[in-house]
Amino acid sequence: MGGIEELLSGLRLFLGVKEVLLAGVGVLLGITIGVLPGIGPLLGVILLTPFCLKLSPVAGMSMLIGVYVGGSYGGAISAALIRIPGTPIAAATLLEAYPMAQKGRASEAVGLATSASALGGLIGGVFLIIAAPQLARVALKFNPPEIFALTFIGLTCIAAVSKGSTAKGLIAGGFGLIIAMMGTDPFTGYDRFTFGNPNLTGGIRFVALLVGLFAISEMFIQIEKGLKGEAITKKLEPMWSSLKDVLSKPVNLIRSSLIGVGIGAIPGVGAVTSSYISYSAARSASEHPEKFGTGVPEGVVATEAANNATCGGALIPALALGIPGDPITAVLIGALMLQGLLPGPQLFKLHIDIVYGLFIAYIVCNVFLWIIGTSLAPLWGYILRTKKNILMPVIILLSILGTYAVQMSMFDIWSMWIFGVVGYAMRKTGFPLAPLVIARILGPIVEPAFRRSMMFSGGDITIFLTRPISLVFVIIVIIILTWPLFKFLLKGDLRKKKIFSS
Amino acid sequence: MRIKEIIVGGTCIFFAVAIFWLTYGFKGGHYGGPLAQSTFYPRVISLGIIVLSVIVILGELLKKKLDKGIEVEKASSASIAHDEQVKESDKEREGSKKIGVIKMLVGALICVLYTVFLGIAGYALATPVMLAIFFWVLGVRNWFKISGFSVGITLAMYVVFAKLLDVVLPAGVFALP
Repeated sequence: MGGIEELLSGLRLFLGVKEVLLAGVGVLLGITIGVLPGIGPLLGVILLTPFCLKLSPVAGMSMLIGVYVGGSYGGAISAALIRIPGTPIAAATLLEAYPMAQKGRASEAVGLATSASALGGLIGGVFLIIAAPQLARVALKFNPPEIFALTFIGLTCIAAVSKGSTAKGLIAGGFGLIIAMMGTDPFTGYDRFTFGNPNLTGGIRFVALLVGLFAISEMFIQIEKGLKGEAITKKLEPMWSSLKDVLSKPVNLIRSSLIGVGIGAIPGVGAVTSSYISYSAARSASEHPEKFGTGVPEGVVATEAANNATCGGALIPALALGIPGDPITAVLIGALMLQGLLPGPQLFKLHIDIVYGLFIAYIVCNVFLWIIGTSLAPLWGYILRTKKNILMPVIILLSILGTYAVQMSMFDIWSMWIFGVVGYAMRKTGFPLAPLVIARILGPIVEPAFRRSMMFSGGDITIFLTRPISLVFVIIVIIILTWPLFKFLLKGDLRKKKIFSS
Repeated sequence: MRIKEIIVGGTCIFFAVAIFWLTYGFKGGHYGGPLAQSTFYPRVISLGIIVLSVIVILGELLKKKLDKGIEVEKASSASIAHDEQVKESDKEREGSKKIGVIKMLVGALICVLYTVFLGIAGYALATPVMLAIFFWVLGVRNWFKISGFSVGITLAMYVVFAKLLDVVLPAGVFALP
């Protein structure tokens, strides 16, 4: 597993006109989506997932990976030009990119962001190619108890680090697991939670759930908040020399990329955290930390290299273990599953050529990111001027048609609206959406692993504690679950002291 | 905020109880012991949701008790002039919030009606009408733009989905392409 032969087999799958073209199209769409505040790469990947079903796995996934990579970078452009990050991932980039733009160095700021993102992403890709096969090799030795405990870590991690309370994250995850159970029981063949409706025999369609929960609820919230356009006065020029500028300070680049890869590989943490940590590290290591916040190029490089390297890091557990690190990788896993491929060690065993095809697609997407991001720099300012009151109905129509296109079923559209309402209600009441989606993806793995473990042990639940690897995973789950309780008790203690001392 | 959290917690408990009750209707084999049955796993999850919902409710109640002392301290130091200013901007915020909610509800209604008429009138008729109404609700007033975008986007989506992706779009009773 892993080697020159596998790399060549992946290259053979990727080096087709369609695959390369779609990777480029994906990057272009991703950057465009990332530039527009309020849209984001997650929405882009969700809306394009139905298109993947009509393409080969490598072609379809190349497009989605392109959107992921491009979208992770695109937010830096609006952060520099209008002080609004196009995506939350670019929030840390704003700290230096906007002041640079204010000083008339907008093109330089965006050029640095482009080159740093591409190079950070490439470094992330190298780690992906090295680490993922090794992790999959280890995971092949796992039996149902280890698989259950490991996927449970993924679920609890996502819930614990989601926005809002951990309890609400876990509740959302719980409902996601229930939704995953809808349909035919894989062990008995009888229906569960279908209410006699034949449309539910196969469960709730993943695309309908995803589009409704994220896209539709987001559109409703955007309409509710009011749709205002932005006045852009700065014009961007292509800055090809930025690549040399980024490479001239390799320590900053490599440190930031390593932070991104490391944090990306931990489920639930994400690119926002990695970019802030990388920014802090760059400031600490700088000879003039007091200048940070006034438009320091090293700050832009640190944040953008980290947040794009995170993409590569997040794909390591996603492909090797089938555990998504964030909602976007959850959608990517879902897209692979829709094409009949189950991410995890079996994917590496049975379809190693496709796996390496995806690795190469990821590398090529980062190269395209640099080429397209730099050459089309003047275009991004124009895109920011797009009126949201034109864009929103288009996105809603795309959501409806994309959902319909999967099975040409009106039932799927109605499911999408229901989850749109659910997603809106969840956002208004402080429930994170990611745990529900990730639980929906992991549910078909978690439940069979648990039931097989029970069959294997004759109903003895201590099997998860008697097997060493499973025991380690269970301890990690307990730490993740009890940590917020310690934090809460500590916070309460401090507040009491404050009240009594005042 | 406290009432909202209690309602939210209560709603989650209601759904979890409903899920638990529904498991009594599951059919299936009895091999592998009780823990391997199709009912055990969803019941554990629904019990977990109930416990977590109770934690959410209790957490909100406890948080309120601890915050009370700090709120009393803040209120006593606020000036009257500042209060008046805050009240005015609160009123403005409330007003624009209401408009936003109305727009959102109208948008949702348009979407639902579109879905209903999609099956009846077909994609070619329902879509440009839906888009035109939506653009108008969201503030586009130039009729040339409204009609141009509505027809243009309808055509573009038709080319992408029907021609490129071979998706059979709803034809409706008029059997339009």
